[in-house]
Amino acid sequence: MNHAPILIITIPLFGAFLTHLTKYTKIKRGAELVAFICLLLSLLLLLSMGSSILSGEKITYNLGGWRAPLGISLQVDGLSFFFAALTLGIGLAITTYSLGIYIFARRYYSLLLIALSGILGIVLTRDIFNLYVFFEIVAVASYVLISYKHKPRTIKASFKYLIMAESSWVLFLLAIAILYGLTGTLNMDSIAHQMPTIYQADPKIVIVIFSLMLVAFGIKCGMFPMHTWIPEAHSQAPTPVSGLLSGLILKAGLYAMLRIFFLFWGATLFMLSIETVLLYLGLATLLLGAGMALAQNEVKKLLAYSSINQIGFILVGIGIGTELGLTGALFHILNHSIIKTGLFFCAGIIVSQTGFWKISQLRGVSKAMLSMTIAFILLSLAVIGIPPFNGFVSKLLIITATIQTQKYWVAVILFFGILLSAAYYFKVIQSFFAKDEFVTNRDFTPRPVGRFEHVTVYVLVLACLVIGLFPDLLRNMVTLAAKVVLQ
Amino acid sequence: MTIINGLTIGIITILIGIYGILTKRNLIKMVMCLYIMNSSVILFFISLGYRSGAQAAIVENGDQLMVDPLPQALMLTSIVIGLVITSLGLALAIKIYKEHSTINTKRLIEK
Repeated sequence: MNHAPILIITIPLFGAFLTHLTKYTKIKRGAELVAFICLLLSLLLLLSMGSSILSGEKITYNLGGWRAPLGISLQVDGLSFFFAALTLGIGLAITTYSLGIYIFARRYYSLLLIALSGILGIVLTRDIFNLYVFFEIVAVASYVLISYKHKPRTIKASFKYLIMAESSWVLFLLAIAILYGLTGTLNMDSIAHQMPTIYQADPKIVIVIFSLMLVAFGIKCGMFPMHTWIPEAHSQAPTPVSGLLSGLILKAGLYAMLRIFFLFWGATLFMLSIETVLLYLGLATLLLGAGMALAQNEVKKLLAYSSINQIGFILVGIGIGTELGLTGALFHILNHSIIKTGLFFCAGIIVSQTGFWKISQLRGVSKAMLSMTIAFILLSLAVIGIPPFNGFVSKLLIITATIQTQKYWVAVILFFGILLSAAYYFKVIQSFFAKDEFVTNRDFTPRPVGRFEHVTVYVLVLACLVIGLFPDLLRNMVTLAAKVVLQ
Repeated sequence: MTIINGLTIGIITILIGIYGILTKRNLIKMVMCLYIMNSSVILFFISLGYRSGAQAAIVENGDQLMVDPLPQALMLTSIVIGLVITSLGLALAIKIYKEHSTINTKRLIEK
């Protein structure tokens, strides 16, 4: 039996405990080394399954040898593979970026590995209660990571996130309880198999379950009107953690939505189909994120609202419901993870060098830090969706899908959203290139920025450009993932 | 089956918890309401496996009426998670009090 699926999850989890033991060895920076090696090993194991997954196979692993309805099973299919590869890729980028920041100690790398292994667990498991436990693991690790610096505002942001996210997980647990009471099983495939009979017997209870899950995953992925934790948590967290939150934890919520909603209610069961619900909520999220981003004066807060805006795009892509729309949405998940992690890293470097975090204070910063400003501009062009960057490809796919399904008014709102995102990013760029004399904050001692941080940003910019120029490299994987969702 | 059973009490206490989280301004009370919600879902889940007159699922002599053991096993995990969340929430509340010398949300927003 191929043990790779469980090892992908447990190697980073094991590494999380090993990082603490490096205290007793003489290896310099042992925790970082352990984190790096664990993530690379997981990535290698995942890629070793790559060829068979991409040919359409599904690899199932039964924990403890118990078959699916009785035991817990892990399954690697196209969608899981896509998200696991994304998690490990961005996870490696976050680890590399953290290497240059010396204030992060063993505890930080340990929590980072726990969060990453939790996300890997979320994407691989086929048991719905297991999904809940993995979500809680990620959540607990991220609360501590957000308040890692123990500043007054970070603790407040972390507490707000804790209250919102935990009340949502209680609702998710309630949904699991109702599902278990109705079906007597926790395996996703078995529940999906019984769903049509449940719906015919009592449609109301299915709508209750759907609403509970929508609230739970909506809070996780920052859907309107449950987005209020995002701006504070993203802007107050340490820079690599902002990357983790925006790049991966929001995407875990989207994964759960894609997996569970389409598996359980794939055929349009309701009078108001799931796609329509997601479409309208996505449009609201998109407009709200764009509008609020225009009004921001802090760089990281603007990026956080921009995340909400892009999540809106992804939700609209899912909401269209055709294969093209889903392909666009999945592609945008990948692109947004890369771009937004890069943007947060860029903003982190600029803020830690100058001591300013307000856009109005950063006027003329290009004279002091030209390379980082250029990287910021390239990444913001990518997120707006200007060719030849990757954001263009995915947004084009989503808009083409709206036109194909003759939802012209949606396409118009999407264009409006793109214009708004251009407006708020150009505002930042304009202020960076202002002719004013730039003076660094006198009361601030800049933190030395290592080469690792710069290298990470350059690699992410390069990834944006390469994916934008050759989108066919990844098209196979993304289309396969979209097909798995629609099955 | 009476109307007063674990399921209905569970749902009512979940609603009490949600009400508390939405209306209370004290951080400690918010964490308490979170724990109330968590415990009531646990009560709800356990009650799903309950059968009146049944025994614990330890088979001794073949055919005996047993309660469903799976919810109990699952809720053991859930109790641990609830404990972790509550202790973390209370720790953060203490930190907030040390930094801002208040745990009233209305005053915290102003700061």
